[in-house]
This record gives sequence, structure tokens and C-alpha cells, in this order.
Amino acid sequence: MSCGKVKKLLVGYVDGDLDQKREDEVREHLGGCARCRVLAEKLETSSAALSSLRPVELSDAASVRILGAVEASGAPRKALLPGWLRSPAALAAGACVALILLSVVVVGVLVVDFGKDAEGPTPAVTEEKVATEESDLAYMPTEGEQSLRDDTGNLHGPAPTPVVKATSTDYTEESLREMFENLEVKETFGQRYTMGNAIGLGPSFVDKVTSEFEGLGQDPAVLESMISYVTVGEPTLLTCYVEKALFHGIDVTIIGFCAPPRSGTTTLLTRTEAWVMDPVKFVTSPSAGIVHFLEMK
Amino acid sequence: MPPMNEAIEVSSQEEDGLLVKRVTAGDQGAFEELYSRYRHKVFSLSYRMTGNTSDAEDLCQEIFVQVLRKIGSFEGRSSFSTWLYRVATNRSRDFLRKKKRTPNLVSHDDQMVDSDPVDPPGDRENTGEPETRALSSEAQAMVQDALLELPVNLRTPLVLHELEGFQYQEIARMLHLPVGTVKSRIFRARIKLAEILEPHKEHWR
Repeated sequence: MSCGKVKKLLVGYVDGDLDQKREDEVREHLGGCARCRVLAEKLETSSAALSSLRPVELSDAASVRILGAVEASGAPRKALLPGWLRSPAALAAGACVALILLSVVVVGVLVVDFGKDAEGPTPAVTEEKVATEESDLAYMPTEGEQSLRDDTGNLHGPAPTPVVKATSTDYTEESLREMFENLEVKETFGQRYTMGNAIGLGPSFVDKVTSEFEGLGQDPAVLESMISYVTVGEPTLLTCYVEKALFHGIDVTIIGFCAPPRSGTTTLLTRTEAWVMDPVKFVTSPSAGIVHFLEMK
Repeated sequence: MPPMNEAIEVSSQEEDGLLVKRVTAGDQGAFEELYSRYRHKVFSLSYRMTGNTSDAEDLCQEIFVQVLRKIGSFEGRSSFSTWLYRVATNRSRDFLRKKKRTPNLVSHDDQMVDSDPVDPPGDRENTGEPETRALSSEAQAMVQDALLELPVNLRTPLVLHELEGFQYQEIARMLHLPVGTVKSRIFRARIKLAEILEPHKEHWR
């Protein structure tokens, strides 16, 4: 048997996978060929070395964390929606609802302006007014929220704005949940803002939190990217909370969003999502930047 | 003979196929079932490809993110397992490329002063006497380090065959390579691994 043929059979020989006849032929060749014998020894060494490796398993904590992050990440977000919401027809209907809500907002602003000015606003004035109202974080009424206004349509108290802070708190899964359960801004957002508000106010709230974050000496661009990554295709997520903190000793940015519930009839933002993001990892790989995900319905 | 994880049985393949259909129909529980079935295998591949827990968990997450994103494109022409490992090996290659470009990023393992760097994660069988265990862990770390010295195109088929238990034909389908190429890469990988381990080969005698 030639060296070339033996080489092809050598792995099978070392692993004991050859039939008796082949095994005898290879053994006979090895008896007289030092070069092939060296190769066989190397294959034996690597085989023994590899079989000494014990199986490794994903820890339970990492397993839970990864599943949460996977289900919550970007496009897969659809997987969290009930099946009926995921059909193309439902998505198209959703887009129509979003357009209608936006129209309601714009028409509402026009009506308010006409009421104040008998001659009516020019289109340019209207746009400016919309921008001003957004930057003022004004409350925009939608159906079902009338109870929050008095008879003259005025708001009860000031409109809540997002909380931004930098701390050295070292959170765990449990302490983070506890913090969010008792978070006041989550409650006020849930009582005051609706799906329509989220669409209208979202961009100005992002500007606000990134600007305040920069004021705390943090990188606003990465925060903006992280919010954009989470909210892409999800315009009804309204940023309510940003905290630069630690999570199991790692520097993270915790971003809280208020969102409409996944089922039910209310459009109030009564559901909360908390995303714990590692900004360093996020820059190189957004999905790997998701450290932990928490949802409160 | 591969030491563990025999090829996925037909019944298991059928169950996977049903779960995939349920996932694409919007059943979140079905994805969790698939995740539960494959998380340890995907993590194991990730760990062998990256060599540390932190990177392996990141890679594992990236792989499952990709699986969930792409699961609608799985047409059932191969087994789900083959498709999953194809996604996993592609992501591993991209992850390692990216890692190579950003070598200064500190991994979590590097930051954990108290952790034993040679103990692999979730190694629940590592319960021997302290001295034996130390030697064994040291030897394992040497093998893992040697694996990382192999080029990715040799390491991948070697890990899939020798550690994850796949046959040559399955690996060929996963990597889109002829079976002969897979065999020759595994052969070369084993020879190279032994040469890297040559100074320490008394550990495996």
C-alpha cells in the first residue's frame, strides 16, 4: 500500500473505524514507514487531547439573559407579537392607524390654532406650532384620554419628561426589576401618554435625553444609536428613563421605554421595557450589546 | 469516532421541523423550545471557537438573533440542525474577523479576577481531587489554546467533527464544501494541533 493511500486511511485507522482487512494493511505499512508512523502518532495525540475536553454548558443565568435579548432584539421583536398582529394585512392596518393618529395630531393642532386666531394660520405657522408644541412636550389628546383634561381641555399638571441620570449603582436582574417596579416616571408616563403621543413626542424625547446625557459627561451619539436600534420599526416606544450605571459590575446604559400593551383596548403607554445595554460592545455589534431585557406589562 | 452528540435522529428532525413551522406562524413558545434544544450545543461550538465564556455568550446570542431573523428562510431542504450550524459557523467566522479587527476590547473573563481562567463554563463533571483537577484543567486549557491557534477554516470542521459529533457529510453540507475537502481539512487540523501540543504531549499519553 502506498503512503498516499495510507494517509487517506490513517484517521480511520487511529480512530478504529476501519474493517479488519484495511486495518491490517495499514499496520503493515506503518511497520516499515517512519514518516507515516509519525503522522499516526500525531493523529493519536490530537485525538487523545481533544477527547480530554469536557463538554461545556451555557449557565442558567446566561441562558435566560440570552433568550430575553434574542427575543427582544431588532427584527425578531415581531416574534413577541401575537400571531394576528404579524400578518401583512395587520401590519398594513397598523401603518394606517399610525397615519390616522398622526393626522389626528396635526388636525388637532390646526383646530387649536384656528380657535386662537380667527384668520387662521398659514401652513408655515402651523409647522412651527407643531415643532414648538413638541419641544414643549405638550400633551396631545386622543380619544379615551379626555378624563385627564378638565372641561376646558387643560391638562392636570405639567407633562412628565424623561429621567436621565448617571449613578454607580450595581444592579442585578432582581434589583433592576425592583427599581423599575417603583419607578415614578413609568407611572406618570403610563397615565398621561398614549400611542399617538409616543409617535409625536418620540424624536423630541430622544433629543432631550441625549442632550441631558451629554450634560452628564456621557456619549450622546451612542445613546442615540442604542435608542434608534431598539425603536426602529417601533415608533410607539417612548423613552422615559436613561441611567448610566453598572450591571453585575459592567458599565451599562439602562434605557426605559413606555409602550402600549400588547393586547387590550387602551392606547395608554402602560407597558414598560427596560434595555440594559453595554455601550462598548454595542459599537462593534449591536445585538451583542444587549446585556439584559426586562418587560413589565 | 466522534466522542459525543450522535447525528440528530429522524424523529428529532421531524420535531424540529414542526417547531420551525410554529415559530414562523408566530408561536413564541416554539422558539423557546428550539432554543432550549440547541442552546448548549450552540454555546459549546461558540466556546470552542472563541476560547472564553464572555465571547462565547456574545457569539451564542448573535447566532440565535440571526436564527430568529432568518428562520423564515429555512425551507426544510436540509435538517434544521444542519441549517442552524450553517448559520452558527457563518456567524462565528464573522465574529472572529470582527474580534481580530478590535483586539483591544477586554473580555469579561479578563476582568473577573476571582474566576479560574482554566475552568471551562458549566463544567459540572469537574469534581476530581484538587491536584488531579488542576492538572486536568491545565491540560484542557492547553488544548483549548491550541485550538485557537488553528486557522478558522481548519478549526471549524475539526470542532464540528471531533467535539460536536457530526459526520463528514453533514459538515460538508453545513460548510458548503466537498466531503473530500472536509476530510482533508480535519486531517490537517489534527496534525497541526498535535504539533502545537508537541511540547506538552506527555499529558495525553
